[in-house]
Amino acid sequence: MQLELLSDILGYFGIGSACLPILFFLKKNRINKNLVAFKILKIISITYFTSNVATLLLFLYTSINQNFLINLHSSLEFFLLLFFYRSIIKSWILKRFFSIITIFFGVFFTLTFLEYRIDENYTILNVCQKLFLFLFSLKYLNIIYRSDKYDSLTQAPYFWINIAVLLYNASSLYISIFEGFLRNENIEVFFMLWPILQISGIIYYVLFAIGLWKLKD
Amino acid sequence: METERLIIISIVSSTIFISGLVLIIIGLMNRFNKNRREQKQKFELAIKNKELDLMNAVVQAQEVERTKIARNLHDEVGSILSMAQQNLSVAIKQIPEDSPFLEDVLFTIDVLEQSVAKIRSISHGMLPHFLVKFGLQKTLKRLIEQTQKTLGNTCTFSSSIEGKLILPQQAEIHFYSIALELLNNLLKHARPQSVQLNLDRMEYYLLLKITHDGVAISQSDYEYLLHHGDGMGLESVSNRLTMIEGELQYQRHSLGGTIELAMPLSEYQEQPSHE
Repeated sequence: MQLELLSDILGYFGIGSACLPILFFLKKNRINKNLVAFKILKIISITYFTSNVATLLLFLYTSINQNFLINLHSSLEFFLLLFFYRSIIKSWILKRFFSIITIFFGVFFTLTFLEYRIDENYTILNVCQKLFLFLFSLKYLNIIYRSDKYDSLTQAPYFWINIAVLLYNASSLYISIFEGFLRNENIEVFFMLWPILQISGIIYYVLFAIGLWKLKD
Repeated sequence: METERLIIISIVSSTIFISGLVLIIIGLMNRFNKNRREQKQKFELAIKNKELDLMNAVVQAQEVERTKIARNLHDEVGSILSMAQQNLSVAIKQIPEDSPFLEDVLFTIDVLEQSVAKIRSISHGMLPHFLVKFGLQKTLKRLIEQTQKTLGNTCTFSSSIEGKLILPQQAEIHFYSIALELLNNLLKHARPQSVQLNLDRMEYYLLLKITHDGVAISQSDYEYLLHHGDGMGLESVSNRLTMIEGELQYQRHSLGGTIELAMPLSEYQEQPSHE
C-alpha cells in the first residue's frame, strides 16, 4: 500500500517535471530558432507534455490501459531523439548509420505492432531502443570529450540534454532487462523497482529542462 | 524469503549501477576540466615565453645597434672632430694676435672641444664599456658622482656588497639601464635636493634602493603612468623588468619617497675586491 502511494506521488511528480521543458520555451533567447536540433527539442518537449497530460487524464478519468500511450510515447521519443542526434553529430558515416537505424526501427516497430496488441508491453523493442539511445549518448559524450572547442564539458550546448538521455536510458535499460524476467516470475520485485524508474524519469525531465535553459542562455 | 532477497538485490544493484554511472560522469567532467586547465596553462606559458623571446630579441637588436652607433660616434665622428680641433690648435699659432679671426677660431676650438666631450659622453652612455669593465657597483657610483657634478645635488651611493658582482651580462645591462632611466626620471620630474642610491643583496635578490626628498609618486601612480602615459621610458623599464623577472616598488613618504628595484639572483657570484 505504501509502495503504491509512493508510486502515485512519484507519478504526479513525474508528470509535473515533464511540464518543465516546455516552460523554458517561454524564456526569451538569442539562439537561432531555425536550428534543426532546436526545432526537434521543441517537438520533444511538446511530446513529453502532451503524452504525460494524456496519461494523467486516462489515469484519473478512465480505466483504459495506458500501455498503448507508453508504447507510442517511447517510440516517438526514440525517433525524435534519433533525429536530434543525427542533426548534432556531423560525421557523415554516423548520419548514414542513423538513417539505417531509423529504417530498421521503423520496420521493427511495425512488425511488433502487427504481432502484438497495442496495449501490450513491447519489452524487446523498448530494450533495443534504450540500448541504442544509451550508445548514441555515449558517442556524443565521447565527441564532446575529445573536442578542443570547450574549456568545460558543461559549455557544450547539448551536454545536459545528452547527460539526461544517457542517465535515463542507462538506468531504465538496466531495469528493463530485469523487467521481462520479473514481470512473469515475481511481480512484487518488479513493482519495487518501479519507483527507481520513476525517479530516474523525474531526473531526466529536470536535466532536460536544465539543458534547454542552458541552450537559451 | 526468496522475494525479499530478490528485492534487496534488485534495489541495491540498480542503485549501485545508477550511482556508479553518475560518479563516472562526474569523474569524466573533472578529468576533462583538469586537462583543459593544464592545456590552457601550457598554452599561456608558451605564449608568454614566445613574447619574452621576442622582447629579448628586440632589446638585443637594439643593444647591438646602440653599440654600433656608439662605436661609430666614438671612433669615427669623435676622432674626426678631435683631429679638427688639433689642427685648429696648431693653425692658431700662425694667426697673428691682433687678427680679427683669432677670437672666432678660439671659439670654434672651444665648440669642438665641447662637441668631442659630448660625443664621448653620449657614446659612453650608449655603450656601457664602464659597466662591462668595472661592474655594476662602480658604474652606479660613477653615475651618481657625475649626476652630482652636473646638477649640484647631494647624491650618494652606498653598497654592502663586497667585491665585484658577477652577473649575466644582459641582466647587468638591463638592471643598469633601468636604474639609469629611474634616476633620469627622478631628476627630471621629482626635482630632489638629495638622492641616495643603495645597492644590497637580500637573500636571492639584488636590491637597488633609491631614496630622495623630491616629489614622490606611489605604486598606483606608477601603474597608471605605465598604462596611460605616453612616455617610452617607463615602457622600456617595464620590458626590461620582464626580461630580468624583476620588480619595481614605488613608495611615497611624508618627505620624499623611495624606489626599490629588485632582481632575482640565479647566477649570482661575488668576486673578492681588488681595491
